[in-house]
Amino acid sequence: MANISNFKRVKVLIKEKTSNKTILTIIAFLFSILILISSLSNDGNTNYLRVKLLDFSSYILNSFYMPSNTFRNSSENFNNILNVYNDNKDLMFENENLRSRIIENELIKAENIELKRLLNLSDEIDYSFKTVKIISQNNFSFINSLIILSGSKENISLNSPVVYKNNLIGFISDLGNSSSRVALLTDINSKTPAIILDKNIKIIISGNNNSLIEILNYGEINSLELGDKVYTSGDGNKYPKGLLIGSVVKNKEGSIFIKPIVDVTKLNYLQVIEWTPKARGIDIKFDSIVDN
Amino acid sequence: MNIFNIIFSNFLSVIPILISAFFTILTVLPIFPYGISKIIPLLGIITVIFWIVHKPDIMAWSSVILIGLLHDLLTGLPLGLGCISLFIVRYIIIKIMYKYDSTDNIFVFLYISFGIFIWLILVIIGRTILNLGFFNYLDCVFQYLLSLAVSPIIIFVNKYFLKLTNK
Repeated sequence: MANISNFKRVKVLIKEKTSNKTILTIIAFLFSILILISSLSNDGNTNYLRVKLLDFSSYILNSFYMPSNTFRNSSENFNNILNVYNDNKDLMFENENLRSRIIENELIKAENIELKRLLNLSDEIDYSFKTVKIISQNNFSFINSLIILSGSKENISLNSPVVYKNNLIGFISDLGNSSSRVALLTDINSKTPAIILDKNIKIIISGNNNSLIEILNYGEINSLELGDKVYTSGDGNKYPKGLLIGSVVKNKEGSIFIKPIVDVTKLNYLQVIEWTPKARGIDIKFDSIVDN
Repeated sequence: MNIFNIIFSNFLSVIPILISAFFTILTVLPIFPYGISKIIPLLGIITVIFWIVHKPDIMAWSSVILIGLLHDLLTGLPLGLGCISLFIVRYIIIKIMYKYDSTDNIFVFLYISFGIFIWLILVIIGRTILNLGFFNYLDCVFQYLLSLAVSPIIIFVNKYFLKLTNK
């Protein structure tokens, strides 16, 4: 049987070699090039095709995701059971600390409200969010993204910030009807305006498909210290102000990077912030130019 | 030949495409252990190369483009980049097969290791040029090595389906 199949295979090869397949090959190659060029030029038709295919593939991914995730969670649950005694001891200690922090925070909050009232500051932008399910994770060396099972049907909009418990994860880069792609902060295409609040240092951070995030501007970087918390600055209105991104770390060579707080590979759900201009309270409308 | 036989024989002929699509989907599912997410083996690419070697008629240009598009779509690469890379890999492998034709396991492994290498190089070059920036290429090296390590298992699984399609 194997010999017959090998004979067939060789026959196909000889046929491919002898027949004139050059034109077909060139057409196929040009077709691939065309797709790549139209995808890079943000052509409407390609985007439409991409969104439709993403929607379609999300159904397939979701059907595979459920059993695989159950298997993955069961091994994690087993580990949790093994560590339950030690975890409980740590949590009790942490709980005591948090109780004292709550009292401190209540005092600071009351003081903050009073100071804002004295300065007559306008209300900060408030936002709401939707919790969405992750169905695929693509943290390759050349791309860092996620696919979530929510799209424009659930009123999610393009470029909306994606968070997990007020920690910034990324933004919506592709929007389908029932699924969307999230570009992570660590992705090479991701640039985020950030701030170190206690030092008032503004920086721009950029992903490089690595686990650590690079700092692009090196203005006041010398005053950064290990463990400094980095938050979104809110500049450019890309993200809300004050979302935690990560903390400052140094690599072996002594270069400064930002380490994201959240490990996305361990997450199953995320929150997408409603960040349309309307949701942010922006009601500026541009008048259409009328020729007189 | 009744209608069921026709359906069954046609189904067998699309098995390579379905298996390749399945392994491509498997690559993007969160089933791998924590910590190796950056260097997940390229299961879909390994499978496509396996079928290019064994069934070049079924894994033709059109099938390769189809799987390439699916891969681009699921991984989030610019649509067409992985597709062109896979297209070039098929072209090179078929050219090599004209001269050194063998389907021994060792040869298949060599084809796969060479094919993944070419595919990764093309994708890395494309991604670097399109993003105008460099990234950690060491991860790609480990991804390549891990892909080679798991490829015997993928070859073994695909051999089973190969027997099925040869019936």
